[in-house]
Amino acid sequence: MRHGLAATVALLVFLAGGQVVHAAGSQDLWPNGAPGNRANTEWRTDSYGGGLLVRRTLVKVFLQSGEVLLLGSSAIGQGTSDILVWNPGLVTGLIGGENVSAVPSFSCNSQRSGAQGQITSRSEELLGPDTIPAGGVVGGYVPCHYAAPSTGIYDIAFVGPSGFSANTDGTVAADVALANPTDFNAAQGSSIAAWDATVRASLASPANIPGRVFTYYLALFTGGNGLPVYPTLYAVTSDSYRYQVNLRGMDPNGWLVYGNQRGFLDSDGATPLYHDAVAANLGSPGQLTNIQGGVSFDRPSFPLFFEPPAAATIAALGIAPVPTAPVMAGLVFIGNLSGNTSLVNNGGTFAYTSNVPGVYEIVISRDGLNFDPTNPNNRVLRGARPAGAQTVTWDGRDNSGAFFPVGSYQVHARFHGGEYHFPMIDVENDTQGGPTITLLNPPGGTCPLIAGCTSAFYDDRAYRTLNGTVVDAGNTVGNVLCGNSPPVTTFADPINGFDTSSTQRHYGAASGGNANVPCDPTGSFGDTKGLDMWTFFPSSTVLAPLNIVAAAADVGLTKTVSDPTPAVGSNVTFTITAHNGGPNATTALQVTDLVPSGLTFVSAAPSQGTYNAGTGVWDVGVLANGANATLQIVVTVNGTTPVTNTATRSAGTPVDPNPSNDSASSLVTGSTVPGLPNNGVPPLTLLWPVAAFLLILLSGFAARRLRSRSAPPR
Amino acid sequence: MSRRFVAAGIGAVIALGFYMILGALSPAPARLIVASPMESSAITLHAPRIPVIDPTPARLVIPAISVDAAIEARGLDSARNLATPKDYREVAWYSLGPRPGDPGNAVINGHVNWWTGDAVFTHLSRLRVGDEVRVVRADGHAVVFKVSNKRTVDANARIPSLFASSPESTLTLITCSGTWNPVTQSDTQRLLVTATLA
Repeated sequence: MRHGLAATVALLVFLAGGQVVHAAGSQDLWPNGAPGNRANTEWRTDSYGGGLLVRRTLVKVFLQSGEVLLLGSSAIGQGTSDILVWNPGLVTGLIGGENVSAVPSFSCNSQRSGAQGQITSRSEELLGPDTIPAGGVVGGYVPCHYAAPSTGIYDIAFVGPSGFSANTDGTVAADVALANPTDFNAAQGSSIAAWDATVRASLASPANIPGRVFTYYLALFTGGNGLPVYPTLYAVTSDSYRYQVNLRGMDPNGWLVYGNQRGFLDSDGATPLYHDAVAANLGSPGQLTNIQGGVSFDRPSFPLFFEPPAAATIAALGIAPVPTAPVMAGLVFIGNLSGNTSLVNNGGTFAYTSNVPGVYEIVISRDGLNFDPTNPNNRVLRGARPAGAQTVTWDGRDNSGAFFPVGSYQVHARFHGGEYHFPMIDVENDTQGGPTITLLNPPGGTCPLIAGCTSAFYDDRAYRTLNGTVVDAGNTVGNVLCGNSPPVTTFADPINGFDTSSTQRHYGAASGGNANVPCDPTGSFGDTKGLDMWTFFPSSTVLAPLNIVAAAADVGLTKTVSDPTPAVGSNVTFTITAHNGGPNATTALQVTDLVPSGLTFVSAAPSQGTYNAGTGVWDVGVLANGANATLQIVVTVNGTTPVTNTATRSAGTPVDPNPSNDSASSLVTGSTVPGLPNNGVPPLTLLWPVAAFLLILLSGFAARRLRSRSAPPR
Repeated sequence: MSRRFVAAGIGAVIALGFYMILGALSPAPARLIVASPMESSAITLHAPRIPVIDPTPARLVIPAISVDAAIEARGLDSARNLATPKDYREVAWYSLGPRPGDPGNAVINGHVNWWTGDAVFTHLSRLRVGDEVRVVRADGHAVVFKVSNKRTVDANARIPSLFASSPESTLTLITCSGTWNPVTQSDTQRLLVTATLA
């Protein structure tokens, strides 16, 4: 009687939606009262992205040494199902392609007896594991259990009835209520309908320790369309931003749920795409084994929790407890000519500093008014970088691949903290417009994007990749991608975003549309695509101008004087050197150097062109890229007053982009103090040619004398 | 007393007086060494012999680098630079400035090399602080200096301090250094060795 009362109270609390600490697992994904349908959780061998992301949900849990992990699934006892646990450090490799040994640290099958490890009903799923000995959680399932031998992050695999290395779709009832026998029998194939991983301090404790269980990606399977799902997940970025993600009506068949910083990658394999990935009609398009335009998946990188994460788990992952607002500063354009000026078709480099790691976004506006990063006539540069001083290279082209013409342009840039991409792989339909992504911990308490903390971005239009390919083929850049029932609004405001709690991005149909052939007339918009949605916490926008010039010749002048402190009345020689630093030749170059009072012009000797002492103009003429011309001016120093003599570039074409080196001066101060003597003569080594010449002369002279002496007497 | 004797006596008195005045005016009298020993003063029956006074520098002796050279008195060349000695084995004393041992800086320059090879100051750079530099005057007395400093300056430098008045008696020896500039037909630097009274 007493047990019966406790069970009744517990169930009432659940039904009332009270603050009960749930066990972690499928009951978090489909809590009591969840609308829509259930998706089974997969553990199978095929993959998305051409082997990049294997369709298996590797569950992770943070355990303190001695804590117990309680485990159960709807497939235990069916076929070759099992629940496997690996101790910290045993599962290695990149996320999505981990090296998972078939020999675990713990196997539920090796422990279980009777109904142990079996979740046999919706009620057991919601109640979670009973205690050992039984009775602490009345109505809970009888768990397998594993005591953590050390503190760390453990890996868990929930293997379906088809076994560890199988690839069976199975029959999925997709019912939240777990009312169908296929939710519990071998028909689950390579998936399971319900699973649980609960952390407690001891076997006897009924108290769950929440926020410990997570994964880097969920492989899910509903077995059909017209089966929208509504799970809520909690993502944490590596820079500490926490997002709540409600799938809100997503209607896929088989698909992946994950998050990372860059979404999909452009054809260079590094630049974030900020568009959707479209499968090529090769291999298995429904699993995007080949993607158009050289696009690829970036691997999952952010943990997805099934309930709000615990601080201890965040700390164990090396993530700081709170995020820092991004600040971008010192944005400048470094042209390839000088300052912020580049030659047309050459591009240049942007430099900036940021206080935190994140993603830079630099937009070069064609008209100075429109800073839409997706505008074909603008150019956007985006990428992930560490904190500190950074540089970004620009190739001089706009988004359409054409070079920016000659002109002056304005640049807006901002830095993204907490950038979070939520790719949806092969999600055929989403008639509700989900997911809803909510930033839970904005720095300063305020979300700066247009719709507040539920703001995000998407872009479902055709685009051109960095290798010049238009995705999808045959479409026009800017038009919506292929597929039935695309979003009416084909992209979010590229600067301010949109409200993810709205239905703005709804697409597809209430059911069907799974053709698994790219752009097939029967395929819904999300079929054979990876649809990206992303959000971030932006810094303030910073500005920088840049100039593009048609051609230029950076003429630089230098000037020396033979003696800066000559004796009054003596002559000195100024040497003016004009150097063309390019990149183009200069013509009609003139340099003006009028001898100032205090000096008296004596003579001039230009290496090319002519010098007019009356006007001071040296007509240099043509000077090739990299060439030098010199002018020597001899003057008499008239007195002891310091005199500055300046040469200045006064004319020439094309323009000189660098005025800082267009003039040069020398200071001469006449002196009545005696100068130092010249006590040296050329080194003997320099005299050897003279000595040799004299030797030859003398030898010739001696030979003539010898011949004359040997001549017969006349 | 013949007129001739009287005249000689007056001349001797004037010379002695000049010598005494000169000594009184010199705030840091040079240490004079008699190059040729005087006769013993124990013979008191004779009237004291008045030494001939001629402070004109006559020879430069630098034992450390085996220099013993005649000194030419030279002024400025046409470019108002210090004139160099006519003979590469000799040195030139800037005769428009003070004599060695007089208050102020006396300047002596010499060639570092010659068409035939070494010259008088070929090894000037080897001098070290403390080395002795001796200037023998025309009257046989020697003024002794010790090297106190070495430095190189640009060949075009005009250094007012070399010619500035001073109560101290110093001596600067100058020769060429650096590298040969075929355009200016001159070495690029000058070596200045400064010596102070020992």
